[in-house]
Amino acid sequence: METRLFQRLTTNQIIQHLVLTVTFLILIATGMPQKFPHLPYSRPLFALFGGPEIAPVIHRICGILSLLLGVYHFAYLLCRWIAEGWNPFKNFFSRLKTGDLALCPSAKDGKDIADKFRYFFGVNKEPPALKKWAYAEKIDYLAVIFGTIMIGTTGVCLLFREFVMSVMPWWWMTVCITIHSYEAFLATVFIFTFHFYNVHFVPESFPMIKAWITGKMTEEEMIHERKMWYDEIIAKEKREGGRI
Amino acid sequence: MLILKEKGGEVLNKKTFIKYLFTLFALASVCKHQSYAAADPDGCMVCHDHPGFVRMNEKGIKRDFYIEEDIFITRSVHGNVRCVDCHTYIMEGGEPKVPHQPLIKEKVHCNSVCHSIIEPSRADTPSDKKYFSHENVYNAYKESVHGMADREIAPEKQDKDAPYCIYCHSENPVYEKVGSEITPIIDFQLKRCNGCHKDNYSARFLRHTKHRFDPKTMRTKYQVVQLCVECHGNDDMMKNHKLSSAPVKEYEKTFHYKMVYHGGERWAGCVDCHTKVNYPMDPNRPSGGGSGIHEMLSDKKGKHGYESSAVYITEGSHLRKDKDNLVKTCSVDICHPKAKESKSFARSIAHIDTRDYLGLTIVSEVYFWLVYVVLAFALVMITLDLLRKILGPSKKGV
Repeated sequence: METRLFQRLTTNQIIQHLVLTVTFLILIATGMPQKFPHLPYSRPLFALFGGPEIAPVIHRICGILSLLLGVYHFAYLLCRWIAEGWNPFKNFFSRLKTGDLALCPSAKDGKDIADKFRYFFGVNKEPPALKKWAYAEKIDYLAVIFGTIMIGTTGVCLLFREFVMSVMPWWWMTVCITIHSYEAFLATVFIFTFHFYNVHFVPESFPMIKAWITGKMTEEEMIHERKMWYDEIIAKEKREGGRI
Repeated sequence: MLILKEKGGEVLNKKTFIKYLFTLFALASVCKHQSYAAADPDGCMVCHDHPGFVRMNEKGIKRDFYIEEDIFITRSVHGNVRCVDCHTYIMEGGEPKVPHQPLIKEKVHCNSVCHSIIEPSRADTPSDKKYFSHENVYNAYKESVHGMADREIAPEKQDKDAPYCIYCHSENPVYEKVGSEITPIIDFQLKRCNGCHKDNYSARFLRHTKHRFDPKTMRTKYQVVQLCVECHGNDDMMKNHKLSSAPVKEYEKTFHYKMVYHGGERWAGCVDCHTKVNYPMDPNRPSGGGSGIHEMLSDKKGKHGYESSAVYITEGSHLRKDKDNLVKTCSVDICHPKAKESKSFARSIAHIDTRDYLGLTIVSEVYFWLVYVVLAFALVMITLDLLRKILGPSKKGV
């Protein structure tokens, strides 16, 4: 029997995520040897990207691409909202409670985290039933938004340092360097622990959840991981008749 | 009786054989010495060319007086210099006295006149037949903040921590000794030269300068930085001289250091900012032009009657007093020419101690702890999730 597939990501979203992944990994590979030059892997890794003459240039190019991706993503959201007639303020508070605000944090996310900890400690038999976008994805998403803004802004200041410092006080450069390097390190730590575990190292999905490449989830995955979203889809199909 | 036969069938007895051996040995010695006869007209190598030539001094320290011909004579840039040109105390009445007084380290001066025999006497050298001396560089060194190890000063007044010439140019383990790295001289590089110049002259001349450009032997900018850090990163030594090692630690956080660490030569090392090496040559300087690293001056302005070191930082504090000097240093044409009008830029780029500024400290500390909090959160979630998966769903749960 053919396994039913559910659309998790559109093609546009898959490409955006791929660009983000590639630029992020290259930024880490060219940036971490600068933050931690004395580590054993730093010199060979930096040399792999062309050494001090070329690796910083690659770093800046990928940084600019990340910023452009951020701008594109904002434009993409705007276009979708306009095309779908989406009104972010309609029934705002009720949707905030039920978690129907796409990737915006909601009260349901707090409840899901609490239920998850209850499940960890054996209070609940089952993990919380999750919607399409749950607390893990929202944390990831908001971390990327915040990180891109912080790292991108400080990165642009570092790129045009002479101009920026002609208008800013002397301590601004030190602040930029501190925020840029620490925020990047924070993002790296977060992505390689929390995000990578949820996508790659969860035992039932090892070596990886394929949705980030195919954009699809199987019915079994849906029932296991996104029960509430699955139930919503089935209920809507029953109301309207036929498959969504 | 030892019987030997030679051509013609005559028998050699033992005595004659030994004479033959001695002659062969003497010939071999002479032939061996032939390779440096021109550089050692005083015959110093007759004694100093023996690996077992050691002596224990009164303090029980073993002194090795063996000079390796292969390193010093053949490959060192000083291989052509007459021994007594540097070891001047050996001379008595204009002639070297053999046997001579024991070597006293402090009596060797790097500002001796040398090349006293080679260039004038060789018909095939293109040099100007003048004597050579490191005098200009030595004068700059004497005037510099490191000049307190100058051996012309009385020993009790010398600063034992200050580096003398050989600290940087041979003794320091950071550096590869020039002679210890074989610079391959490719035959075809010298074929055209060897058509006129004889006796290995071309190879020696090429090696004299090539070691400074050959990536295998040239000092990298990082090696120079390491050399400075040997002393300036030493907390105790800096305290003894009422200085701080904090600038070294702060420099290691800068982009300049990181690029230099990764092998970059275009980024600022210590010498680029703390000397005038990137400035145009100036005949008013003690070096008579430019000698860069040897002109490192004290930060006390006006000590020697002219403009102080390129970067002027008040000793004992982390304030930048002479911002104009800083701007000039940063905005040299090969570095940040666009920063000519920006005092903020110059002040921000230099290695400052962030502990002196509360705002910067707060930013650093917030992020430092944020990393730990995020990492702890992630690890806790992962660990608990894995444990639950291993243990299975709780049977007693709701």
